[in-house]
Amino acid sequence: MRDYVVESVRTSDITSLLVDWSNGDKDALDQLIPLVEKELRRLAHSYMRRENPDHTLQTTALINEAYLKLADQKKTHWQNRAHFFGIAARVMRRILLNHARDQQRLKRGGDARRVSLSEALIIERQKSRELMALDEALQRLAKVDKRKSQVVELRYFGGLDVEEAAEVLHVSPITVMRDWKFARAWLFREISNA
Amino acid sequence: MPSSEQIEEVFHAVLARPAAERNTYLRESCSNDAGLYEEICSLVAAWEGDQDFLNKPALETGLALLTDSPSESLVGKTINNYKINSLLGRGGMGEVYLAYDLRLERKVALKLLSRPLVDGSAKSQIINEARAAARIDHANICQIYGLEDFEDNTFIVMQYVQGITLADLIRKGPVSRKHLFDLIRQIVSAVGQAHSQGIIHRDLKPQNIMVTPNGQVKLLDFGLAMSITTETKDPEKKIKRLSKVRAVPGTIRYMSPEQLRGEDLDSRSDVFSLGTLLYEMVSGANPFARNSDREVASAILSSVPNPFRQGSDRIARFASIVQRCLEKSPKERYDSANEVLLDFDRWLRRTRSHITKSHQCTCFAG
Repeated sequence: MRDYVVESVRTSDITSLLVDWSNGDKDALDQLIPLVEKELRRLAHSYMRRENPDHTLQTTALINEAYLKLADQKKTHWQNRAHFFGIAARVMRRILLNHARDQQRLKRGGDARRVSLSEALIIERQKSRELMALDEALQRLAKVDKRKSQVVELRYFGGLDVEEAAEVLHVSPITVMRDWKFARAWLFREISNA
Repeated sequence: MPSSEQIEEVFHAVLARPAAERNTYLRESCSNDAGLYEEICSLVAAWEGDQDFLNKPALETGLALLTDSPSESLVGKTINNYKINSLLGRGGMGEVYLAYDLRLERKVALKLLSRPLVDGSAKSQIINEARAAARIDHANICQIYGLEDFEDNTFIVMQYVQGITLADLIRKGPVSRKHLFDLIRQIVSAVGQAHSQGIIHRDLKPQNIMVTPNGQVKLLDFGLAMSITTETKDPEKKIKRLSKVRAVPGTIRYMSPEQLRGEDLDSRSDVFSLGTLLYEMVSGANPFARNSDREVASAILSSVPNPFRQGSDRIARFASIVQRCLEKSPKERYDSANEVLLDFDRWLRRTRSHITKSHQCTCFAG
């Protein structure tokens, strides 16, 4: 795990990175992702520490809180918020994928066999495989129809509902719903045929 | 080739119809276009196929992962006197690392909680595990070296066992007769030692048993172990403990009927799990394997496993030991693994000469 020196980054930096990114600066995204990830992890931690661990925490609530923390409200407007949700969904997708790959590596790795692994892990491996298959299918979908893949990323990985996803993508909720239905069928077919 | 707009349009139009009319509508709207028909057909089938697909956002897993300390972060670091080399495995509650004890200059395994801050009960569980396993001194039980704290975490320092799990060993194919009964003896004797110390394991399964390259068994994972003497009668605590047990994800295929029912457990519950384990080792199949947890539970509660195909009297006598372990009522079973061992040894003595002569015996089949 790379260590990012995040503590020194202030909200104004995040805000300007968001602005840079929405202005087309691709490097800004690379800098934003680790910052957002770190903040999401930190928030999830502190949340779990103060709440009952059984309590379900909504991802959207978490992302919203991260956004409020990270972005300077006076200088940002809704597009930045939308961008932020887009990034957060991508971060969640990346975290899940990395974990899935870890699980698969553990399965293959020689050393991993030497310790008793609970059955839970085997069940998780099944999920890991599904997740990796979904990610690959989603990449193929992005090539055919970028927006549909974004709808899935926002809804499935970012936990956004139809209206929120519509706001982020700047389209109508009806379009998001249609995209979602089609993408879901398309992805399921891709994965089943693989 | 139908255009993607066309595909989407027909797709949504089909979905807008009631399920019963979809097929007719689809055939009508694609009457001249076999390619379009096929495309939509497969999409609609996919849509109708699995209602659960993508239905729930990847939230829960994602959040659990966010609060997990990323595993790689510890590799290469030194905590207390241990230099962490690699991640060996990860379970529901903890991570096991291969580490090097810098003071004693030997390899050790460290078991750390993956979410120490989040789960207070996990912490007491790891302490419980260390204490239970540390009380037992037996060649076939993984040795506990210590229990230490590091920052917010508590971890177990234990013997590093090289080898493969019994689960992997069984999966690799039939084990030779001689080796098989040698393994069985070691397992039963390890569980017996725990029982003598007043400890029940409660989670006996092939995944928790390691076999070293020279054939030595090491029983691991006392995470659910319980001391019989501290077994509480306070119903509230009991419910708490049971819910904790249930919260541990994993297989139920080795559980005893009383464990499934959430009743008080004693060593006879381990005896049942041993029976399931032995049955599987000898026949190659878990006697309660079914398609769903519900069916597994119902099989454990009510179905009597088929006896091994009996090729001879001596195998029949071994099968009867397993059968007694698998009695539904604890009263009908052996009282503890030590009693199983007594019977097993009696059987072994009587048959030893035969077994060493015929490794290829095929009379046990699932």
